Amino acid sequence: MLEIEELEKEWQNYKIKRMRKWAILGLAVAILLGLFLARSSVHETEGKEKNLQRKFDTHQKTEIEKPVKQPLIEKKKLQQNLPDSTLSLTIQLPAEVKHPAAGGQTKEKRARREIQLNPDTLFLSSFSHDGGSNESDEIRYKRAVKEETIPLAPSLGKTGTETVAEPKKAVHISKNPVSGSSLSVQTKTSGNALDYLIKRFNMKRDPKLAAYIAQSFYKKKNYNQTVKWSIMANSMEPSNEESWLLYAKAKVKLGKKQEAINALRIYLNQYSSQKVKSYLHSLEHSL
Amino acid sequence: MSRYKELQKIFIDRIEVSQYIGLDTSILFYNKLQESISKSLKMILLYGKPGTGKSVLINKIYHDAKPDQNVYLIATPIQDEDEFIRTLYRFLIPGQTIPQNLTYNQFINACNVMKDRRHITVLLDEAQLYSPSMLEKIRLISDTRAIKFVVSLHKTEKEELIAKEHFQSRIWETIELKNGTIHDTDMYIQKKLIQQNYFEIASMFTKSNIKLIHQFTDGNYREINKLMYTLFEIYDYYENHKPSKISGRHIKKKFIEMSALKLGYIHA
Repeated sequence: MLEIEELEKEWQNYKIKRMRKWAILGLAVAILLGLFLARSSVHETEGKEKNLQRKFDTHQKTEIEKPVKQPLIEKKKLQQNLPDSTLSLTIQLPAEVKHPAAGGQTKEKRARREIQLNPDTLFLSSFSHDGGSNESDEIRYKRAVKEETIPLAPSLGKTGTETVAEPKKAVHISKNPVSGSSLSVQTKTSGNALDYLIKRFNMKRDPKLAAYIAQSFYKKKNYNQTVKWSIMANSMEPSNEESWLLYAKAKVKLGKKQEAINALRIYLNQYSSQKVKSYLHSLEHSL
Repeated sequence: MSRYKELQKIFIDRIEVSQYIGLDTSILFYNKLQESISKSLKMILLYGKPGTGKSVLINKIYHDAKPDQNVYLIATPIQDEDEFIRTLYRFLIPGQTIPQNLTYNQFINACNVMKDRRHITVLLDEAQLYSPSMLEKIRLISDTRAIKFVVSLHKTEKEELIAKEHFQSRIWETIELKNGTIHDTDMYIQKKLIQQNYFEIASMFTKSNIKLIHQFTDGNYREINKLMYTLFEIYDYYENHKPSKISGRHIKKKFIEMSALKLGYIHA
């Protein structure tokens, strides 16, 4: 018998070894996951920056071309009221105005250069001091600002939904056949076992077997059959508390709590069982 | 005797008709073998790894077919050639005195005479133990069509070679027995326990218990018997020494793993 105790020690060693394996594996997975997340976040921020830059570029290209068309006098007037932050406009505007008839290529080149210098300030200054005539421009500015800052969220959201939606789909597809196959196996298994048990019961008429069948049906949540088989077991062996409890439990599941209580009271009138008493007590108190 | 000692007995590996458990796969093999026996074949090869239930199946077939058909079983190989011939003679011509110096050729002649009058089926268990020369003779006897052989072999490289060399041209039907699935393992354990009215114990085995047992034994019925025997040995010990350790409604994974450790399926 000492052998069993030694075996238990051996089992403890086995468990420790097994746990160690899992711990190492878990740690490795965590490190890999951390690295992956760090890398993906770097990519994400790089992507964001690029996206921002691209948006600024396109926005400025369209917006900068418009101020060029404005009369020089008006712009110069504005210069006096401009805040410090918009100083860049005074530098940029003359450059544009000095060559109004310049070719499209040089204009574009200049525009690009200006964007790199200080695109936002130029845009803001040109509208903020332009009175009522710039109402539509203000709206455009707001839209432009929105486009620069807010669109990031939807664009992120978009990529977010794409990344979330794809795995969801994959999970959905892979899960369905698995669950389907396991379900069919389960049905076959339990059906076969119960058929066998019922056949056996029909031959032997054993009350314990009837109780076992009732219990099997209860596990399968087939409460009507549980009631049927527990009655069978009760009638053959009235003292068996398990079959009475099964009957009561199945009745409760079928929403017939009072019938369950009545049955347990009948049982307790003839036999004593702590298990039945406590279950009856719990039923009576939950009424 | 404690109930766990009684439970150990159920899983002692022995070849008896009562040990036959009607599982989905074994019923399939049983029907296939019975069908093959009823056909006019010279030989039927029944093979599979040790512990897949060949001997139990062959015994069951013999037990069931004996009352209606001329079926005979040689469960333990007869190594002596003369003795083997005399045994077959007794099967083929029952009630007749066996000639004193019955030679192999005389027996072949007797077979040729009897082939239109009487046909018998001889079930040869553990046929891999016969010598190559004996197998050759068995092959020639089957050619007379007076005796049909059901040859049960272990599936190893050597036995496959025997099957190839000596029987391939004669074997018209081969039945390969395989290890059980998880479902078979579950049914096997449940039915074994229920057969002996251990309903409570049967309900103590959860799906994860069965999965673990199947994982350790690979669904081999001999290995399942060994594991179950050891498991109940451990339970018996704890019942006598530390009963609190085995309290609970289900079989503990720990004890299945301890059994596997003892049997060398896993190592600490």
